[in-house]
Amino acid sequence: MGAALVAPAGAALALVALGPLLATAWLSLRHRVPVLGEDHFVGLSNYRALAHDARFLGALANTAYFTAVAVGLELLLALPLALALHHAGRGRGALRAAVLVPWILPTVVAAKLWALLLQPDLGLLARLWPDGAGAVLTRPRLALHAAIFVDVWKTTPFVALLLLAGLQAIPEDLARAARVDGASALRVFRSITLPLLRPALLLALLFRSLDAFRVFDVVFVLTEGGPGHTTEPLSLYAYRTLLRAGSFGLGAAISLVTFLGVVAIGLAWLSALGERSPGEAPP
Amino acid sequence: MSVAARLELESLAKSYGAVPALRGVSLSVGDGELVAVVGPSGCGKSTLLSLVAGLEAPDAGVVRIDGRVVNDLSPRERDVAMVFQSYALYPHMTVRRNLAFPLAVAGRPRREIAARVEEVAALLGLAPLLDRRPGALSGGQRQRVALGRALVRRPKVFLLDEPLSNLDAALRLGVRAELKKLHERLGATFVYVTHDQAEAMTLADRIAVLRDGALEQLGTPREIYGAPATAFVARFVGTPPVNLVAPEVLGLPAGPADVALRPEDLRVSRDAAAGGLEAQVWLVEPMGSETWVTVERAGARLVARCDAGFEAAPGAPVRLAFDPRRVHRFDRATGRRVETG
Ligand SMILES: Nc1ncnc2c1ncn2[C@@H]1O[C@H](COP(=O)(O)OP(=O)(O)O)[C@@H](O)[C@H]1O
Ligand SMILES: [Mg+2]
Repeated sequence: MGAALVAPAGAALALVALGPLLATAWLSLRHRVPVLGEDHFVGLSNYRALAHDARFLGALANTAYFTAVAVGLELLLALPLALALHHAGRGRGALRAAVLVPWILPTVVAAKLWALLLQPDLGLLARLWPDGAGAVLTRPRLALHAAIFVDVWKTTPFVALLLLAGLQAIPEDLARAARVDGASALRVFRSITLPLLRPALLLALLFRSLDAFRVFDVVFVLTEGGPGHTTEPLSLYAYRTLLRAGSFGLGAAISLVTFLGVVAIGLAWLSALGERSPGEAPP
Repeated sequence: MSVAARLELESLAKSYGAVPALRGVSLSVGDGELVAVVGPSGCGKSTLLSLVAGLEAPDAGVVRIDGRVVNDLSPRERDVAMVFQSYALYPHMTVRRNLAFPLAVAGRPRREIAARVEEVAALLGLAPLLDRRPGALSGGQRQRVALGRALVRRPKVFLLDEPLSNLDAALRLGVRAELKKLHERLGATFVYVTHDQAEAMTLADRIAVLRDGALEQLGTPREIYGAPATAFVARFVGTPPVNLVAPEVLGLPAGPADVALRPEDLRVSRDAAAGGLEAQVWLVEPMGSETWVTVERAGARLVARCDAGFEAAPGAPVRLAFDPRRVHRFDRATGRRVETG
């Protein structure tokens, strides 16, 4: 009975998710370049090629770095923001709406906005520092950090709202009881609020790191992966290999590696989420 | 176990926005006394406790503990403990950690914490539950843990906010009795908030009746029951509730005051020759040890507590009798008690 009820959903999933996934996996084992009319089975040689492909390894490193730093910063900034929103008495609703503005903007629009501000010749930064120090997008390390900055700027409000929902799910009496029990505000936060916010924090981590690992639009609009390929993430490399270079097999291999990265991240956070939250740390 | 303290509240007032929750309540609780604060839901009972605990600041008035004004002290500096209506157990901590929390926060030595937790657990029968989390406890067990967490610090003042209201009826009477014994044993100062007048009557040394944020009457249970200061108090205490009617209903001369008669002071007789006021039976409710009989007379309904053996069909004619000295009078306009000479 249970299996029968799940069957339609399972079939739909297989059709829309598993199907393309298997097709991609199959494609990644072939050498297929339609414009040249080449198409034959090559086994794992696409993957072997990637292992020695400096551009691919760079993209992997960029993606991992982007994900870790952007998500880390977003959580670090979102937590105090959520706490402030939670404790703001009057005008909380208006404040919440205002905070969401960056997130409401389509990513492409937000990225374009910042691209204009950071534009090497005419952008705001370039005018403030005409000696070239303001030309962030032309300098590899800085350009990736500019992309991280835009992502943090845009997504921190969303993370804050996720955490705010988590904070609001904690019964108010708990903090009141802890205060009567003699806890300082800091102790209430450490011993009550933070442990009880753990599921919301992990959920935010899960959502955001999955999203960040597939980053495409921010980087595409801001730097197009440049200068050179120094800010190119995996999904942008896969897109170019597939659609620009027309190398379907190799593109599929990159996509699949990206997918496996996402799955690994997802499983890691989900297993942390499933664990029982640890008891309060000993005093 | 505890050192009791004297608690004094002077003209405490508190509003939430435009809503006045307390309007100038003065109350003093002697050391070791149990004062019950009763009143219907929304009358300001929880607000009163929040002000005493220091969770909220009063708009006006003074809170004094052992003669010292504590208005500007944080909850942790006031040395009061509170049992919340929701129990407010920390869901991510075991019972042991819940009980230890107030002591851990105070930075007590580990060994002392362990000893005090064991002591309280033994007192409340929590020893077998120490390693469970609140989620794995029954309502009664949670209530004990909440009580234990209050006891473990040996505070000067205990504040209890409707501690029994989340227990089922069968459990409530048992825990109520235990609480009374516990108070006798600790000799600590208790402020016990409840909307249940029976709890207040059985537990309290004195009862404070709150209505719309103002103190309606303060007195011993006997005073509150026997000489209610207002019609509101008269109606609020006693089960079944007092009969509050126009004097004509009881065959008394009309006047500016309504009259109130406790159900145990109204005698119902099926003997037509008994004399007294004529009435008809409206409802008969056997309670086991006694029977509550509601009768109709002059368009009003009156309840009487009769013998267990009383039987009558609805509509049956009966005679009513009462001792006029047992009648309370309340001014119809102000609700205030009118003493009759
Ligand atoms: N935090 C609050 N914000 C706004 N109004 C409140 C708050 N707490 C209590 N009130 C209001 O104050 C009044 C008294 O509430 P409370 O003290 O909780 O009553 P009780 O405990 O007797 O049921 C009620 O009208 C309630 O709605
Ligand atoms: Mg209340």
